Amino acid sequence: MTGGDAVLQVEGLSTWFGTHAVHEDLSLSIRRGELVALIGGSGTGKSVLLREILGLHRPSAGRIRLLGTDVWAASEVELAAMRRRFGMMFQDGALFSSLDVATNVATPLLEHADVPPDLLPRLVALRLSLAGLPPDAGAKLPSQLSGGMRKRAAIARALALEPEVLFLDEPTSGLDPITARAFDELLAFLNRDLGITVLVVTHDLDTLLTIAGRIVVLGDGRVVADGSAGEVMRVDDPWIQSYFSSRRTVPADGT
Amino acid sequence: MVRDFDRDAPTCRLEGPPQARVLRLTGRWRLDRLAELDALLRQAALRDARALTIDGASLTQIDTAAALLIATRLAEAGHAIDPGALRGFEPSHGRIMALVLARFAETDPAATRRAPTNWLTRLGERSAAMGRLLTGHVAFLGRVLVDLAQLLVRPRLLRTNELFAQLGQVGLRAIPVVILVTFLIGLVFAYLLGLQAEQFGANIFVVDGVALGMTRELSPLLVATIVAGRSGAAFTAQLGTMRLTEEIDAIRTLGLSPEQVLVVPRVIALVVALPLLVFVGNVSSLSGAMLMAATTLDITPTTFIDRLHDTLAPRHYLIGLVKAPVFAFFIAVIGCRMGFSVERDTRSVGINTTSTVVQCIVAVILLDAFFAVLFQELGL
Repeated sequence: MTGGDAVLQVEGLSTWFGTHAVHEDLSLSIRRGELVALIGGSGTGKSVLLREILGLHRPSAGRIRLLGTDVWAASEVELAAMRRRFGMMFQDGALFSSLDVATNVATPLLEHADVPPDLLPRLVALRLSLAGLPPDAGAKLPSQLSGGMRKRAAIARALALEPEVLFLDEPTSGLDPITARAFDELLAFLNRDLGITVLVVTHDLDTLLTIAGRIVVLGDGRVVADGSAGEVMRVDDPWIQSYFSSRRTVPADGT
Repeated sequence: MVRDFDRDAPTCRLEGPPQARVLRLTGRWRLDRLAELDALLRQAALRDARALTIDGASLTQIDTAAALLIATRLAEAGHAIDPGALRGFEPSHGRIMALVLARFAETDPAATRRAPTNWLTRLGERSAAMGRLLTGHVAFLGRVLVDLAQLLVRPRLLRTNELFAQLGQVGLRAIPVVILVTFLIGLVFAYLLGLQAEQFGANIFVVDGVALGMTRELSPLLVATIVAGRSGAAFTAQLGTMRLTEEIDAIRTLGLSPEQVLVVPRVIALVVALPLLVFVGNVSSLSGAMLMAATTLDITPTTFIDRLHDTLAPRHYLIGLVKAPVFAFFIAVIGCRMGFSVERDTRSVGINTTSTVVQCIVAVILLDAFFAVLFQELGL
């Protein structure tokens, strides 16, 4: 098997919107246990790439293998089995607004797992605890939660079925820096202690520099840089240079 | 070499002397086979064991759900939840096991259970909510009237583009469905009256009945109900979505009045459009009745129209037309107010839209009853 223990392999991916190319011959591979951040300027197709990996948007050409399943060639049965093995957190949480948080988390368990009925409330409470929510959050409706708690509830739902891979779209956008750092710690914890492979689309420099083991930069429809934060910063690309220099305008020691 | 299939098959056994029992776990313990794992644990008769340690050296996989299942069944059998009881776990498995045991106390379902509410509490809450809804309606009605009065002083405030867009939406585009419904009701109404009148050879009186019933009562009521479902609901959905996306707040921060920009054009459009739609409904329902009279009651269209001229006093259809703008005003105000009171979540849009339709139809029927009594007293 090529690429060793690859969880995700994207090969020769191209995406066209009319005559506008979003991706051109893009390739990317992620191994089990990595915590990868995907960055790039607006319109470089980060979210489109994520949607193509999840099977929500069909690419114009190329192949995507997620957890050993070819996302755009597999049968419905194979896809359904594969979908139970990853979790996705959408940008604003996408919680079901008519259900309380505990029912939101229980939904994938009820649909796809054979959980003994007496264990279900405990399992839901464990998911809330893993996502860093207090136990009484379960009885609340999504509209009664703050933005940060809504995102944690979305993580709890994404974790419901013990995913091997977790995808997150801008998890720290719209959060204050303190909540955002706590969120980074949560992702690092899930990656380290539960062994979940994490792919996070983000613009948050602090996330990149503190927890991401690997950074993938998209630009001009392909991967322009791929490596640790130090390696990526040295790549001679105008967007990358201006992106990382935006941080240097505020010195870390406050002088 | 052992095949993966055999290594992965989950087992659990109690071993060792009675004073120091060991629960030996082997194979793959994961969420997808939780029911099967539960059966294994129940067979192991954990309750009889004393001073239990857990040996996980032969586990191939374990996840938090399976770890939680083990912890739960151990706790139910009266064992202490102690990470010190774990033996031989591979580091990654041991981390998951220790993590779940450390958080076990937090997963007590009693903490997440909601306090039950009795019917008296619910009745009280509903009544208070109903009271707030009605006082909110009255306050909103006041605001709309103030904004309308402002228009008399400063007519330039009227958003003519929005007004004409709304007139097209609530008036012109409602015509087909109004024609269809009232035509069919006129047809059925004439048929039912005809069944009775035929027995007495009084066919011609069908015209009197249809003309009076349709123009004075049924056509305004039916058309108002259609408009409540069509435009009242649309107002709530439109304004509610605008509230979700903070467009209404944006209008306010730009120094404009959302009532003046959004509500007043809708109210005026509906007040103008509904009487016109009722007129369309009158013509259409009488055409339906005329068709039925011609085909089953031997009343030719000429006779039908002659009889209409003789018996239908102008005051009857005028009363129908007078009621329409009042219905329209209330439908528009309820629709807009329910849109403005949408909370900041998507579910609320659906709830309020449903509520709008119910409130509008109830309001229309109450108003109609009020008019019936009023005109009775006035001797019209």
